[in-house]
Amino acid sequence: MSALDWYLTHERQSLTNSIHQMCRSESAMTALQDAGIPWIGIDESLGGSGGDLADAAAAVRVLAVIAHSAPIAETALVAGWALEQSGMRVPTTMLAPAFSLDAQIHLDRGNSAYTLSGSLHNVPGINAATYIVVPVDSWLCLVHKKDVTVKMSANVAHEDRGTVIFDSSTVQALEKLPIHISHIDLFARLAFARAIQLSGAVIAVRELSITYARTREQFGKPIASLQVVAHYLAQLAELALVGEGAIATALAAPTTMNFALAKSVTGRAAREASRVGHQVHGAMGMSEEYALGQFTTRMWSWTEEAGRPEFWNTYIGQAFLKQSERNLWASITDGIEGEYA
Amino acid sequence: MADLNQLRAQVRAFLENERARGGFTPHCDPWLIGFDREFSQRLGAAGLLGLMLPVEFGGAGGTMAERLVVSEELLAAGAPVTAHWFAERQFAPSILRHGTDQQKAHWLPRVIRGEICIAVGLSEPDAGSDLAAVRTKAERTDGGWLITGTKIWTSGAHLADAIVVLARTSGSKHEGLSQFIVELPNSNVTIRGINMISGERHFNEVHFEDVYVADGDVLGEIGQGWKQAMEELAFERVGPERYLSTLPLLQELTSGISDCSMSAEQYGAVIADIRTFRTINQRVVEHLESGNTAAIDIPLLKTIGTNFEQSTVLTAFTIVNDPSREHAITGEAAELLLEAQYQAPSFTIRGGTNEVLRGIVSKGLLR
Repeated sequence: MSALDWYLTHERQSLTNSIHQMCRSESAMTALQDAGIPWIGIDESLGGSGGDLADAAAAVRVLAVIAHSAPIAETALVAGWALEQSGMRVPTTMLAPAFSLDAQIHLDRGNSAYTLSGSLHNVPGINAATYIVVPVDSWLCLVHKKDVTVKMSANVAHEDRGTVIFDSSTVQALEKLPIHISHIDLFARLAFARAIQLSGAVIAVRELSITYARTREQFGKPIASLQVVAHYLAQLAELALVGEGAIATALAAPTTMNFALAKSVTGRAAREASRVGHQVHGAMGMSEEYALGQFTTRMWSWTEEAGRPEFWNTYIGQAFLKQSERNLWASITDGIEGEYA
Repeated sequence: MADLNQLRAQVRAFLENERARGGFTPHCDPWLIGFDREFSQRLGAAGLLGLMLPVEFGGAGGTMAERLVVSEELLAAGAPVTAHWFAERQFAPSILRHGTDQQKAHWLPRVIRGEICIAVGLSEPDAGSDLAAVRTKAERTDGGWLITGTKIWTSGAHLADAIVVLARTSGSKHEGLSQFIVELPNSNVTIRGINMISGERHFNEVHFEDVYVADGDVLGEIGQGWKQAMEELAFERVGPERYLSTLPLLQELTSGISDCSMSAEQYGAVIADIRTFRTINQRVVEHLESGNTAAIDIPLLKTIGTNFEQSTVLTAFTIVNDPSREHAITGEAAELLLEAQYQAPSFTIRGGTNEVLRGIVSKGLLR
């Protein structure tokens, strides 16, 4: 057992075991929804399933570990959370977060309702979603999918993404974003969801690689007995550990800065883990029928979307440099000015 | 938690006061190249040593988490802690676990006062990564043992009050090893300095010629030396000295130099990485304190942290050699950069090379 197994409390283990079970069935999405998984971590009084951030993280993590594409992260950790934070009722449907830092979306007051115009690319979870959650200026808007045009696309791992076109689309509900939550905070939350998934996927790559290196024989012996291959496995364990350390850091102090940290660290770890994992597997890893690619292609997409590691490093570094008194060590141990505001 | 914050504030106040009165200048790798007995004694007097050691010997009877706070603050500040480091980090815990009552009474109070410098005699000319190949032998004699052999790469032996020697007491590879405490100076112990690539002397070759060690100076049990030494290494490997070696340099580049600094992206990566390593270290410490082992996490964190340390030296050079710089780096920052460059290759070697550690890890993974 590792010192970083935050997701292995008794309750979380039984939660993740049952999610694992549900995902074995053909109708996984229905089973997950019937069990309230997409709304985990959201306050029950606002329509959520209850539980805390770590519970939601554990649910998202296990889906990544088994490469299941149910967009639970998008609903529970991101779009549903944003509604909850704005005091809005969370519909018990799947939700797609249309969060982007450079989107050109306009909110207009029509005759009878507010409407949105503009478009947004690569909205995740859009296929399963009934509603889209969109921040515009200081507002958080809820829009029904029937009121927008969606052009479906996919990421490099064939997970659904879509371009959402708002054309005077009716806003079903809107509320002011809380004063302490700006667009970058929302975006960081999406980044953290991806970070949790990345950390889970790196662990899966570690495990697959261990199994493969143990069973694959060349030169008359398992390749794991070759020192260089054994060291690759150790390297994968290092990458898995930093990923888990990053997630644990953010769970212990869930600030935007630590969400940024989590995406930076897990993204960089995933790049290296993908490279090393493929190297261990040789040609086998390139086969669609073999599991490795399910993880590495997801890792490529998750690393580059919702802010690449370099983007979030710059975010952290700029916050550090903006401080009136720069103290690197204190910024590491005590937080960066405004981090806990 | 509140206690830990209070303790952190206490250490920072102590360090600020030291800086203000000219008590030290910061070093990279301060646990290996920052030898200052008086500083160590002032730390002891401030009650900041032996936090985990029992109250009856002058310690604080505290936790690993408390000791971690003190050591990371000292290392981050680049404080000269070499004089007491090995004594407090691994010798004292080992005496506490395996020592006799007399040994405890003899050593612990002085370690806690910062008065004792201990050298650790493990490596030999033919026993480096393959440490169990140790050939230095201890032969039975009246009331004690006679030690003959050579230790090498022994940090600080020329300044130490005693050296703990891992020596062979029988033929069996691991079970044939035992630990002995040899007080220094000793007329049968010859210590020859080995200059580092920096030109400075930290390492030694230590030669033992029929050195008499009384039974009372055997550390732990005869035949248990390997096990005991490995326990000490576990303590040695878990510390923040495995990712903070270059922090004093980065700190100086941040605060002292205005015309060219690291890019925001570089700062962000450093902050993200060190925060993550601290979390891992804290969790490992909590895990150990609740009675678990962290056999794999400890070598994992050491390889991760030391690779990171080396990368920060490169980061520093991209700043220093930035063609848009108006002023050359001088003074403290220049000294720190030199230290970091000279020390950097050893980050991934000392205390078990990263290859030895990856071997330990992969064995654990494939078990």
